[in-house]
Amino acid sequence: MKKEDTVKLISAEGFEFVVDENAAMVSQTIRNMLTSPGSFAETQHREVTFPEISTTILEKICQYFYWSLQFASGKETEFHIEPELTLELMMAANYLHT
Amino acid sequence: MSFLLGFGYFSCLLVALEFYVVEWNMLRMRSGQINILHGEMMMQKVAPSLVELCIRTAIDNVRYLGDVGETDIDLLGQILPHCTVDQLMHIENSTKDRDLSPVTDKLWKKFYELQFGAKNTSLVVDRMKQKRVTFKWKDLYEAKQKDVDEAQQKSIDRFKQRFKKEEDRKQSRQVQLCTKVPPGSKRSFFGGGPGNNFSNVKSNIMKKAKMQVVNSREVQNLAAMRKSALQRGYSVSPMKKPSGFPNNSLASTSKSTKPMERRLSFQQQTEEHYTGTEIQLF
Repeated sequence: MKKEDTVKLISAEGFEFVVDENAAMVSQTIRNMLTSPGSFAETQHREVTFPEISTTILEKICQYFYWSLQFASGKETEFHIEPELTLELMMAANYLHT
Repeated sequence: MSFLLGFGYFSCLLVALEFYVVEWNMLRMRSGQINILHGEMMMQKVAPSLVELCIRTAIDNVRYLGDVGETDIDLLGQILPHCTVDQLMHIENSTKDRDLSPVTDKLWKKFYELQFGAKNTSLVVDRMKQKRVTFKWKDLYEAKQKDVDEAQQKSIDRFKQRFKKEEDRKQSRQVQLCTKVPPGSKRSFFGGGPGNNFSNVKSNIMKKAKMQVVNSREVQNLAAMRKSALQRGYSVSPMKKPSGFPNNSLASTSKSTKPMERRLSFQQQTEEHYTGTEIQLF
């Protein structure tokens, strides 16, 4: 993977998740951050930090990104969500418009 | 005839129309996840959003929800309607720092109506209007539930009371076993002759009457016993001693009398017990 095709997502604890650009763009918020001309620092460094999102949740979100791409390309599987993550995940997803 | 034909044609048309309507609705419903139905239509498959998936999971697990403190109000508005009364109560009580009324008030109103009836609900609404106060429906629900429970408890207690009363009444009418008074103990005194203590008996007339009866019987029995004892010899027959038999009285009599007489008096008392039980004047 070329550096230009990837985005780094950083959790509150400082964990870095390197994901495909297409995957990250499943989130409308991230898409706006990366595509809007110039205003976000993230556009240049291709790094986004989420101080309110914990590592576990961010990991789950990245998994969702890939699952979503998979679904759209035809492979329809079930995306299982652990009950204890539900509320937090829901809030993070809401924030990320995903 | 032509009418029938027309009718047939019309019904065919209806069926065809229905078929198309159903298909169209199917397409519309699955807007987020349109499947390729006939192979000819090229539709983009869109995965359900993560928010949507989370909401579904939350609804499925609503019984495990507790403190929803930080959850968005709109999201709560989608999830909480799926709770039962107990679940909603639990969630509201667990979410201490936050007032969930904007979402839950109408839910509580609905629960109030379900539980206590539409009539009661409208009554409450009218009362609140009259007095120009508003209460949270949750509080109204809790208060009403408490009243209902109290009234129920009262009626249960009333039932218990009445049952107990009836039971007591029945019990009092039964023959009850009081402490067994040994029948012979007093008789042995009476049989002793003058100079005995009649203090246990209450009235003088009764004392006299008893003395007469007992004495006469005793004398008769004594005579009879003596006869049979002489015939049988000095054999000691096993006797059933009544349980509450005071041994002192026996001992006192046995000390003063001879062995034969002792046995006789013992037998006599037992005999008395069997024949004289109707005399229970104590």
